Amino acid sequence: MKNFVKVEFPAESCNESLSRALAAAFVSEADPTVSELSDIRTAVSEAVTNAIVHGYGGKGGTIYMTMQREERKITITIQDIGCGIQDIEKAKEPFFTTAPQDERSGMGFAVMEAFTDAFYVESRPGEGTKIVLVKHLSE
Amino acid sequence: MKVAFARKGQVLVVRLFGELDEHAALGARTSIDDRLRRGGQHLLFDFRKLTFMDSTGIGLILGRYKEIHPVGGMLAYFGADRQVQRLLKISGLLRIGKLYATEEEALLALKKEGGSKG
Repeated sequence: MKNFVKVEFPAESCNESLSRALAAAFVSEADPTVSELSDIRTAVSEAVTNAIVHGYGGKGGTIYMTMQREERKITITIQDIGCGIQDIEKAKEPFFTTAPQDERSGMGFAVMEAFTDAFYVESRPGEGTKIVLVKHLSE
Repeated sequence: MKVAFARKGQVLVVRLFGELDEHAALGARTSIDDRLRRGGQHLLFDFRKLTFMDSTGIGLILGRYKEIHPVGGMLAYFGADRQVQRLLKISGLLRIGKLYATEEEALLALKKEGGSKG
C-alpha cells in the first residue's frame, strides 16, 4: 500500500491543530494503534510549531507538509522557507531555546526524537528548515 | 482549550480541557497567572480531560513552577495519559513535581509535605 498527500497552509498557530488532524486522517487508513497515532500527532505538532515560531518567527509564511505511506512506514515532512537554524546540533540539545522569554521549553526536537522512530533536520540559515519524521506502524 | 480552577486550601487545582498547544498556551498561561495572583501556594494540574499536549505545555508548566517555587510552592499532577506521562518524563517535569493517580492522593500528599515544611 502506497499513498501520499501534499498540502500547504499559512504558518498561523490555528493551523497547529489542523496539521495534527491532517496527519491523523492520513495515517488512520493504516489502522494505527492509539499510541502510534498520538505519537505522530505530537511529533507533527512540534515540527509545525517549530516552523511557525522559529522558522517564520511568528511573522507568517507558508508551511509545506508532505505525508507518505509505504506499507507500514509513515514519513511526514514539514518544511518552511524561513530563517533556518544556525546550529542544528545545538538546537537539538534539550532545553536549548532561542526564545526563553516566551517560555519555550526547548524540548521540541527532543520530543520529536522520542515520539518517532527516526527524524532528520535539514536546514540552512536564511533558506529554511525541513524536518522529516518517520514512524513504523506495528503489523 | 478551556481552563477551570478549584481552590483546595493552599492548593490551586488547574483543570485543563482539550488541546494544549502553542495556539492555546498564551490564553491558558494568562488565565492561570490571573487566578494564581488571587491566592494559592501550590499548583496541582488535572490532566484527565486534556486530549493533547506538546512541548509548549512543558514550557507552560515550567513557567508556572518558576512563579510558585521561590515562595515555597510545590507542583503536582494527576490524571495523565500515556502521552502526557512520556512528555513529563522526557522534560524532567517529574523531577520538580510528582505525578499521582487521583486528585485525592495528590491533595493529601501536598497537604502533608506542605505541612511538614511549616
